[in-house]
Formats: sequence, C-alpha cells, structure tokens
Amino acid sequence: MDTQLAGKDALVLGGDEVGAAVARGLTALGASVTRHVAETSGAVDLVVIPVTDPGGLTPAPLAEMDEAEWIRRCEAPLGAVRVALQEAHAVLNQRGGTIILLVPTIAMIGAADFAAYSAVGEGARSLAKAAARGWGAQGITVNCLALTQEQLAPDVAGRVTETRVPPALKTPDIEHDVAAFIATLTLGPPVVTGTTIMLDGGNHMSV
Amino acid sequence: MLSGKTVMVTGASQGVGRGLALAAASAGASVVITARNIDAAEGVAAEIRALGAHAIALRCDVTERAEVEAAVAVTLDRFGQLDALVHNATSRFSGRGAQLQNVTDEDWNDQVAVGLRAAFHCAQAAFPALSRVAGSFIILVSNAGIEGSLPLPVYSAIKGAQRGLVKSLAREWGPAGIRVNAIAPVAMTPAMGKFFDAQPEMRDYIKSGAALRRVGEPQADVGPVLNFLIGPNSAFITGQTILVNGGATMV
Repeated sequence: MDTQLAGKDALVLGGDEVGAAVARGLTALGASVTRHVAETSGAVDLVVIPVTDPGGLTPAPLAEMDEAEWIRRCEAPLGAVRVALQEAHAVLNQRGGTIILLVPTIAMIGAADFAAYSAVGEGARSLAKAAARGWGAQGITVNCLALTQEQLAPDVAGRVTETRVPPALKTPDIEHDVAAFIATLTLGPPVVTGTTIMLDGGNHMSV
Repeated sequence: MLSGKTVMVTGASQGVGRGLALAAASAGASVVITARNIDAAEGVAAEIRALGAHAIALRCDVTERAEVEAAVAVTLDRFGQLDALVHNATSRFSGRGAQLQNVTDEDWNDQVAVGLRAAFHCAQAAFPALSRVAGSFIILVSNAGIEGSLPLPVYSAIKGAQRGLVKSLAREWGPAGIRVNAIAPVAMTPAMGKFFDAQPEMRDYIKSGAALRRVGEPQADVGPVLNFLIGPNSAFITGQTILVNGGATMV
C-alpha cells in the first residue's frame, strides 16, 4: 500500500464529485484530508482547489444566457476561486506548502457553449500565477493541473467538439492518477510554481 | 481599409481607447465613442470629426446592460450597422495594488463588473448586429492576464478570464461569421503617465523589459493592430490574443 502522504495534512476545497474523488485518492495515499477550512486544526501541507463548478460543466450558449445565469456560471465561481486561494494562504502561510488548482483544458483551448466556464478557468489560472509570484517567498507553490471535460464531466464531454483527438496515453483517472500526481508535486522540491500541467494523457499539446 | 465600417469603442474618452478610436477613424471607419465621462467622450469625437471622419459620443456605463443596449441601438440608428465592438473599458480600481491575500470585495467586485459583466453585456448587445455583417468582437486584455501580476492579482484574474471568454466565444460565434480576438498592449496612457511621474525609475524598468526598448503609443502602435483585426486582411484569424508590447513578453 502506497502511503507516501502519511503525516501530511490536506485540504480539498469544494469541487463536489471531483473534489470528493481527489479527497479519496489523497486519503488512500495516507494523507489526512479535510474538506472545509473550519475542519483544519491549523496549518496544512496541501490545498487542492477544483475549479469545477457543476453549473459551468454543462453547455450554455452565451447569446441565450440571462444575467443571473452569467453571474452563476462565471462571476460567482471565479469569485469562489479568489476566496479559496485566500483561505489556502491563511492555512499555509505559517510553514509554506502546496496549492493546486484543477482547471478545465477547455478554458485554454476554447469550446463553443462554454464561454462563461472558460472565463472562470482562465481567470483562475491567471489568479494562480499572481498568487505564485506573491507567495513564493513564503514557501508556497501554486500550480494548475488541467483536466479534460471527459475527466471532469463525462456526461457532457460529448458536447465538447474541440476534444476529438484521442489522448496519446490513457486518460488519467482523478482518484488514482491525479491524486498520485498531486502527491508528487507535494513531496517534490519546491521548484515549480505558477505553471499549468496538462494532466490529460497527452490530449492537448498546443499549450 | 475600414471605409464603410462602424466601430464602437468602450472606455474611449482617454488612453488606449482614445487611441484606438482615432486609429480606426483614420482608417476610414465611423466611430462611436462610449464612456461614462460624456464631456471627455465628446472631446474625442470632436477630434475625429476635425479629421473629416464620422464620430459620435455616447454616455455609457458598460456595467449597466440597458446602457450598452441603448448605445448599440443608437449606433445602428445612426450608421445602419455595427462592424466591430471593442471592449476596452477598465475599472477605476484596476491599478490599485494589493497582494491577493489582502484583496477585498470592493477591489474584486468593481473589476468584475467592468471587466467581465460588461464584456457579457457588450457581447450580447452586439451579437445580432455583428452576425448580420460577419463582424468582430474585440477585448483589450493585458500581459497581466498571461503572466500573472504580483501587485495586481485581481486585474490578472479579470484579464485572464477575458482571454478564456475570447477563445470559447470565437468557437461559438465562428459559424455565424463573427470573429473574436483580444489585444494585449503595453501603451502609454494617462494612468501610466501618473505612475511614471510617481515612480520615475519604473519608466526605464518597463522600457528595458521590452525588446524594442520603449512603451507603445495607443494610436500609432496599438491602433494599426486593431484596424488589422477589424479589417479584411485578418478574415481567417479568430480566438487569438495579439501581444502588442514591443517584445516585453514572447509566448
């Protein structure tokens, strides 16, 4: 049994099913995982922020969207990422650590009917870069792992016509493969920050 | 190059917006200057009319959907068509520095309103008119949205989000013939001038970071790129961010 994260405290903020899968995976690797800031005992080693608002994962043409839906699909989840990063900083700034955002690849490559969600994804990536620049001196790294719609929302993945090219490798499973990669970033030397790694098995290679 | 076309620019009463409006007019476009400061907008429109081009100024708070819709309606009534809407307006808080952990709701909300909700208003209001002429929707973004900015995390987030919007909207509206692109300039504006006055050493710092060793001029350096993106020579370009920064960032 691989318990490489034994002794590590992890906080997985939100993300519903995706967050739950990451939490299960990190727990299986030995980490002590909580899902809410209030449940932490103080400092943690790792914070995972899934940028996977369930509302944003379904298609919605921009021209047909009313303002309330725009706010629900774009402004609210991007604001939640800002708050989550601030919460992450609050629990990491005592001893440093790792922040990882799970972002959608469709935000980087563009996808029809996902404009609001794409704005959230790219906004989150830029916010992560700003955080990486600001918090590096405190020993905090901030990186993004980009996942496909097939990984994040298999039910509607077929609606994303821009992802027809098959991945070169198998599509990473969130609970096992993504969690293991998060462990690698957590345990490795703190020399990578502000970057985005495509964790899609070699699907998109243009970024 | 743009003769017969009508271009609306938001936040066009000064700075980059003013430069873009002057450049489009110089290329033959009729230009609609929108801004919250109608007096300043009228001044830019008068400058353009003095050049012999057509221009009108409209007071428009882009955070208000009704005002954006009204501006598009007046444009269509006056000029008969809208070929390009350029969303350039930025929040008055966009230059307010704060590390991310100290960002307040006030910092965040106004920039979201002007940068994102207004982009949504502009896109929706312009969509019917742009689809009739296979027009262009263009958003002014920033290197901060590509590289991330330590002192300006909110601005980074908004500009990055706008780039995501551009890419997906380009795919969504491509079948309707509408092209959607972004321009990321580094150009001299009144705000940048004040910044340099307060911190003179930053002028040389920013210049030295650019391969071409200077800060761009809105009309002379950024304007031609806008005209290219609106004009016929870019008919096969959509979903892109064009960096107009003298080689400060190379992607």
